[in-house]
This record gives sequence, structure tokens and C-alpha cells, in this order.
Amino acid sequence: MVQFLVEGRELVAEASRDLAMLIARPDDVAALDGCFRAIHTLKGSTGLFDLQPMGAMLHAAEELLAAIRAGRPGHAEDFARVLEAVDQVDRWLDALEGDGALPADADAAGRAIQARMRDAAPALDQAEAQLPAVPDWQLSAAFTGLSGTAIRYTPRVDCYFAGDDPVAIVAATPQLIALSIAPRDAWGELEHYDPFACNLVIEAVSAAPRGEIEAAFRLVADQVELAELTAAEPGAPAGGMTTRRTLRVDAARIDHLGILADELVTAKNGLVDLAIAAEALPGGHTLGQALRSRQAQLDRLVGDLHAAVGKVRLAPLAPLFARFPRLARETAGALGKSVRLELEGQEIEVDKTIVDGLFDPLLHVLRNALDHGVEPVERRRAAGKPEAGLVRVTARAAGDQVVIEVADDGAGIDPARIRNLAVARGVLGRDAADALDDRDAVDLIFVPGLSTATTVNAVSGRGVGMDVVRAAAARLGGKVTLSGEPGRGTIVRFVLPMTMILTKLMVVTCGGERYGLALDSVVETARIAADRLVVMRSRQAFQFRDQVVPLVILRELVGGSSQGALAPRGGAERVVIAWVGGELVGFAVDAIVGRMDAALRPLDGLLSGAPGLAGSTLMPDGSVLLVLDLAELLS
Amino acid sequence: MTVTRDGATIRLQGRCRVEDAEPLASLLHATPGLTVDLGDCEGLHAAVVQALLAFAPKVVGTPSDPVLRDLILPLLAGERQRGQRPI
Amino acid sequence: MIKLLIVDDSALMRRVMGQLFQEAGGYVVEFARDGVEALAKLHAFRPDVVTLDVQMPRMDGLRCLDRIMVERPCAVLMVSSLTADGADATLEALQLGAFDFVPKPDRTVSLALDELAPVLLDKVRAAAASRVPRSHRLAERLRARRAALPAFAPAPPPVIADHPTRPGDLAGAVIIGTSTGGPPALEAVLTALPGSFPWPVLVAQHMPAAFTASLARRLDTICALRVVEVAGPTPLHPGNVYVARGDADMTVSRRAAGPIVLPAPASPAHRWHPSVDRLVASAMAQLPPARLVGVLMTGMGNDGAASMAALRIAGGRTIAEAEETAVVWGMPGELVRMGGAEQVAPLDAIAARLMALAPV
Repeated sequence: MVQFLVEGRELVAEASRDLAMLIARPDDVAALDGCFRAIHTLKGSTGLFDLQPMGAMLHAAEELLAAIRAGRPGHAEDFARVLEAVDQVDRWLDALEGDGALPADADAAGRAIQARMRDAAPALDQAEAQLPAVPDWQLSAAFTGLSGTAIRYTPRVDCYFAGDDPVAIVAATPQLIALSIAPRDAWGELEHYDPFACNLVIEAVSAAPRGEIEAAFRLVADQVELAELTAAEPGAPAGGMTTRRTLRVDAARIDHLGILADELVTAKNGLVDLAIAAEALPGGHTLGQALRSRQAQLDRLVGDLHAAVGKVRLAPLAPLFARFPRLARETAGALGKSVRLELEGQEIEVDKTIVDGLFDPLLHVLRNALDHGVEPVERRRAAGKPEAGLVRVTARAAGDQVVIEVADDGAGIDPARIRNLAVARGVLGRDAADALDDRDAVDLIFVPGLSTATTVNAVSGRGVGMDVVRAAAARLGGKVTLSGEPGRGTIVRFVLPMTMILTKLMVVTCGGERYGLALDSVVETARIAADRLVVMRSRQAFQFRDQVVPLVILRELVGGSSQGALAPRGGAERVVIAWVGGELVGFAVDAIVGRMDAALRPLDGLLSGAPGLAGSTLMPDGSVLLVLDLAELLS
Repeated sequence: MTVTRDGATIRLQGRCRVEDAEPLASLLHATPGLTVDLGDCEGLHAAVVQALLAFAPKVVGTPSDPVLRDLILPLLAGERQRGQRPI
Repeated sequence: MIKLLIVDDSALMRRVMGQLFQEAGGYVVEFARDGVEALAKLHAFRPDVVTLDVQMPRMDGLRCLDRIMVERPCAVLMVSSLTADGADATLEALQLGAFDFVPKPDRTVSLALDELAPVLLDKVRAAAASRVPRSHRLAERLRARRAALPAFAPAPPPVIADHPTRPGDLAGAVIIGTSTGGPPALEAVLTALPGSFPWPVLVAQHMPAAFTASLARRLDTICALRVVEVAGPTPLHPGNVYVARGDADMTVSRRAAGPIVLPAPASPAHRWHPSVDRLVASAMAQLPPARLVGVLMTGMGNDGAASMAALRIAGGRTIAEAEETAVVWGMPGELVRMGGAEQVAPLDAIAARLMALAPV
């Protein structure tokens, strides 16, 4: 039973994920197959126990999905009903876990959901068929000759009690070209007139696209009929009819909201300059102070807004991770290997885009770990390792980033082999390959066209290389690296932003360019007199408090220009002291401009491969600010 | 107060909400022949529109709100017997 | 610290409710999976407040409640579904001495709980502060059971249709407002009124929509007066009790034939529904205040206090339930504090006061 509960949860997570995709894209074949399999498996396991209501309900769900797989058109509503059944299973699993039995009302609840699934099919087929060319109601005579979409809205009798205002709803429909309001039933004896019992039928014609009309009526969709009107006059515009079935909030709208919030942040930062300018004016001090205090207020509100928008998009990793156990079992089975999969950190929440975008790259890495990482049983035995390989997929939050690692205890990657392969595939010349240190050599694995598999097989040899994984991580605004030791195993590490959250930046100038540094790593800024600098192991350093801190000339690192000289003797260096990789480092900069909150965007285009850059953001003046990744710069 | 009686005229002023439907219906029922003035009206809840359709008083005044003026008023004023006029 | 016993057969509900109170702080929480376990914990744990699921295996919530009230009376909050069956069971529970009820989430527990949480916390806090039901509840229960016996069958409804009243003909009207603890209090007052009571009685009992029809039906079977839920415009007749529909308001208005009551969409200007304040204010607009009697009985909050105080000033009569009988002396207490209570009477005396005001 314990096993069933664990497996049941996985299957529920899997089916839910696929169903959610299907609700958004009803024609997603892979998702359809996936959730069909999950539900089929669930039903099978149910048979092992005395869980009749669950079995019967799942059977009905399976039949509905089977019909859709067999060619019946599947609609978002169908999948929503199946999802309802899956949710019910989830609640029953709670009950089984808590009490060891299904709740007393399981039978009735299951039947109700079954009935809804059965009813869904035929009714929806009709409703979702192409719009009728002619409305199936008697159209107002006044509407003849109009073209567009005819709307017939019959509000529920008690709709006023529900807070609806049908006239306001209709008035909000875009591009209304005709309207009529009539009593649904005769008014009757006015002595008994009930002012709060809605007795209206509202008909209208709109020239707006179908999607916009549906959006206007989304809250009362069950009370509305729509039909196409074709103009009596040929050639009249029929109105752009785009059919859209779902009226859920479009992810694109949330994205748009996110972008607007980002831009608001940028716009708000412009107030700082304004405040400084105002303060500089003669007598402008008070105005400047007032501006600053307003700016601080706005700062907080915009920060809250930004965080709220970010949270809308947060989703736990759990459903993503929940898909891996079965996939790992299947893969290991196909390879004839025995592998234990451990998952950790699935409660961590990250941006939905990232959760969605991670599945393919993580799956690819996982398959690699099973295929190339974990050795065949004989070799493991020979190496004195346990027969079953161990693959751990872990997620942890690190500041505003999430670190996801896929670690195996397999053979690891031999840098020498990668060098040879790179030479053999013509990626590098022999000299260049030999000049690479082991870490850089291992990193070659991400170069397109390089795969360590010497045989192509069904599991991972699908023409997808680690270069695709790196590209996928980059698209998500993150990075992927690989480490490990020959014989001991491999770790693939994804470092991804957790949200599109605001990063506090310090803006500095170096060699005439402005750069951003993550403020949370900055400890202090200081002026260090040139004569306080010492040379330690051929590097510049200075005494800061009670320790010696290495000094890095930032303009050398970023510009590579000849202006890398230190300040003349007697002068002083502007130094930003920051934590980098667990130690204090001083960065000499030309000037410190200020600080700002910014939404980092991953780099694209020409800069996408540039090392040492964490991202970019838009400055209030419209210019692009490059944000440095100090740790990577130093590595 | 959005429903007020002024002699033989009922004035609907501001935004008329759902609860205004009852006093309006009550007035129209009690005294047939009253005129309803929408000149200062900024919005009509469906329940109020419904009461105006049911009791069919003479409607005067031109509200400034475009939705009211262009979409709703034609249904209430003049030849409204079928309440169906293209706009 | 409030000692809270959560009785629910759903592990999930136990978990989320337990978490809710643990996070709120100030609670010692224990759990029971059914009525049998609950009774076992009753004496060992000695809870101040019990939340009791109505539908449970082995011993259901009503039987459990009955035993609690006999063995160790304490404040019991029923958790019941918003169905017709649930409404009946809940009204019976209130009759048996339950302090109040909260609607049970019927869909996604975690989502519904967000809405439910503040209500649940409020009501448990109020329950903990309420007076512990006393042993005389036993007598009340016996009386309630006897009331259901055929010997107490209601008198036939008075024939009124043949005597239509003319506008303004009503000699008077009673308006009763109540909330937490209201259903048994209404029963106590309304069953004590004779079938010949000459005025209509308008009742605003704060409740969800699903419950008021059950309440009216139940009262109708045990009262000499005819009791109806107001589902549409209804003329007011003497000797009838008009129960406002839940989740909406009820107002008094007028048609050619005379005064009517009708349900109105819940007004956002009022916090509780059916709103006592809105009912009283609308009645004052249609009927001479001097002919109105306002009765404010047990309930949390202050609904009805302001309007009844205004009624008192306008020359109407007002009665507030006395503190010693009110389950929660919120609404009547507020009326007394505002100086709007002409009379303060214990629950069992209210019917007699009404009959003294009305020429029965």
C-alpha cells in the first residue's frame, strides 16, 4: 500500500501536468499519450486493492481519453473533467494515507465525476462544432443585413443576487454595432413585479474577433450563445474570426504584465537622477528631498508589485521532478542497469517558464547519467561499487538563484578522452586540445557536435548533444556546468534564476563604460591610497580591516584595454569590496555611480557567449547596462 | 439618493445601482404616468433598465455617458414597443 | 491558551485545520477521527472548544454533540456542508446546543480554507469566550424533542387570504434580528407566540442561502404561526412569519395592495446578510415607526443596533435580549450600549413582552 501511495502520487503529478498542457493545447499528442499512460497505470494499481470507486472513475477517464486518442476531437473541457477525476484521486490518496480507507462518500463522489465525464463528450461536440452559419434562435429583425457575431445572452433569473449586471457586461463587449433588450417572459401583472428577478434577453451584434467577445462574456459563458452573421452584401468584411477555446489567463498576458512591471522599475529609477538634479538647483534642496521621499515610496510599491507579478508565475518543481522516477526506471530497464534515483528539493518554487523549460534538458542529462554515467553492473562490481547506481537530482535555493544538480556515481568523464574526441571530430587541433586544462577540456562536452557516446543507442543517442542542454539553460537565463572525477561520478549543475525578481545593483564605471554589480555581494566601498597597496604572490593586495584582500583592476578584466594602470602614486583607488566565492576581493573601479533595482535579462545575441556577464538591464536613459558576474570573471 | 421624485418626474441621477430598481418600480407602479428623466444619469444597472422596460414610463433627458445615450436610451425612448432598433 | 478539539474524519481536514490554529497561536489542539474518539478525549483533554464534523463514520456529529452536551457541555462549532441535508442537520445541531457552525469546504480544501480561515478563527475565538452551555440544555433538548411529537402539532394557519389588508392597514409589525445562536432563540420566541398573534413577524437571521429555507420549514412545523422563507415579493399579512433568504437582504416596500417584503441583492454597504439594519431602515420608510417593534437577539457583531436605536428615537419599541441568555451578547449588547433598547429581556420572556405590546 505504501508503494501504491508513492507511485500514485507520481502518476497523479504526471497526469496533472499532461492534462494542464492539454487544457492549454488540446492537440498535444505527447501529453495525451502521457496522461493516458499515467491514468491507465493508476487504474491498474487500483485493482490491487479494494478501491472500487477509484477504479471505476479512472476507467471512465481512461475511456474518454482512449476515444480522443482514437480520433474524436478532444477539447479543453474534456481534459478539465479528467483533471477533476485526477484531483479526486489525489484527495483519496490523502484519505488512504491518513485513514487507510477511502472516505464514506467515495462512491457517490466518483459516480458524480464519471457522470460529468460521460456527459462532457456529446454535448461539447455539438457546442464546439464550427459556429453555426445561421443562429439557431430567431434573430431580431433589426439585425438582418448586419455582419459580425450575433450574441444572445439570457442571464440567470437570480443573476442580480450573484452581483451580475448584464447590461454592464454587454456594454463592455468590444465593437458593439447593435443591441436589443427584451423581456424573457411576459411582464405579467405589475402588482407582483419582482425588481430583482432578472427577466431579460439581451441580443447584440459585435464586429470584434470571436476571442474578444468570448473574453467579455467569460464569467457568464454558460448563459451566452454566439453565432456568425454573414452580411447580405457579398464582400462585406466578415470580421476576423479567430477561434479560441480556452478562456484561461494567457501566459503571454502575465508575461506582458511582467514586462510592464520591469519597465515601471526602470522608469522609477529615473526619479533618482531627477532628485539629484533638483537638489543641485539653487534653492532646490527641499524639492529634491521631497522627490527623494516620493521616490522611496514608489520604490517600495514598485518592488511589491514586481514581487507580486513574479509570484503569480512561481510553481514548485515537484510535478517536474515527479516525472523522473518512472522515466529513470524505464531508461535503466532498457539499458539493463540497476539504478536508484533520489530526488531532493522538489518543494522549491521557481518561475513557471523555468519549470516548463527544464524538463527536456534535465531529462537529457538524466538519461546521459543513466547511459554514460552509471556503468554496467559488471564494471561496477569490478570497481568495488554497489551494483545499483545512484543518481541524485537535487534542487536548492541559492540567493535569488536555484541550483539544480544531476549527480551520478558512475565512471565520470575522462578529460583525456574528451580531448581526443575533440581532435578526432575536428573541433580543436591537437595542440590546442592539449593546452586546455582538465576543467576546460571537460567543458568541451558542451561544444556542438561532441558527444562522448561511442555507440548510438535508443536511450541517449538521439542527435541531441549537451550543446542543446546548454542552449536551453541559457534560454532560461541560466548556465550549466559539468564537473566530476574520473571513476567517481559526474555532476551536471544548472544555475538558474528563480524568478524575474529585481536584483539590486551597484553601478560603477570602468574605462568609460558603466557596469552593474550585484549589490548583495558588495561589502563596502573604500578609497585605498596607492601607497597602501602591497604585492602578494605577484598580485596586488591591500590591508582591509584585519585581513589582506586581493585587488583586481576591473577595467583590465572587462576592457582588456591599455588603461589598466593603477592610480599614480599619491593618488587613491576607488575600490568595491565584495564577497566572491567565499572570499573578499577588492575591485578597483573608476567611479561608483549609484545603485538601482533592475530586472536582469539573460544575454542574447552577440553577448550570449561572453564569459563573466550575468545579464543586462535597461538603464533609465534607454542604454543597456551590462551586469558582471564577478565570480566568473575571476575564474 | 439616485431615485428622486420631483412632482410628475422621477429623476435618476448618478450611477443607478441594483437596489435602485425597487424604489423606481414602487414609484412607477404607485403613480402611473410619471416621466423619468435620465439627463443626469451616469449609468443604469440591468435591474433598473428592466424596471424601465416593464413599466414603460415616458423617458426624457439625454445622458452624457455614450453607452447610455447611444445604446440604452434608444431602447427606452420613443418607439420602443419591440425594443429592437439598430444603432 | 484555548484547548481545541478538532473532530473530523478527513485526515486532510484535520491537518489543515490543525495547522491553521497552530499557526494562529494561543491554541492547544488535539484531534479525533470520529465521535467515539471525541467522547474519549472529552474528559481527558477537557477542551474549551470542539469543532465537529457533521458527517462521520461510527458516531456522527449530531449523536456526538448530544452526548457532549450531556457528559461535559462545552462550546461546539459544527462544520457542515452547504447542502439541504447539511442545513437540516446543522439546525438540529444548533437546537441541541451547538454554539454555531461554519460551512465545510466542498472543493479544493486548500483554496476554500483561505476564505474559511478568518471565519473559523473568529468563531472559535468567540466560542471560547462564550458562556459554557449549562445543564439546563438538557431540559431544552427534552422540550425540543417533545415539540416534534404529534401532540404539539401546529395549529392550522390562520385564514388570511379572505381578508386582504389595505395600504397602511397593518396595526404593527415585529422585526427580529439575530445571528450566532439565533436558530434556537428564534424557536424559543416563535413557538411561544399564539396563532392569533395579530402582526406579521419579519426575521433576519444571518445565514448562508442554503440554510434559510430549512430554517423556515423547521419553524413552520413547530410554530403556531405560519413561517415562510421570502423568495420573491410577498404581501405582509398578520400572523405570518417572514424569514429573509440567506446571503441576500430583505427589504420592506409597497405595492398598490399594501406593504410587501422582498429579497434584494446583498448590499455591499452592509457587512452581514440578511442585514438587520437594512430591513429595519426599509420598514421605517414604509410603515409608521411607532407601529414597529424591533427585537435584537444573540449574535456576534453589531448589525441591527444602529437602526433599532434610530427606531427607538423615532418612537418605535425595541427589545434587546438580556446578557444572561444570549449565546453571544454582541448585537443586543451594542443596542443596549447605544441606549436604543427600550426593554432588556431574557430569551424566555421575549414572547410575553411581544404579546403585551400587541393586542392579542
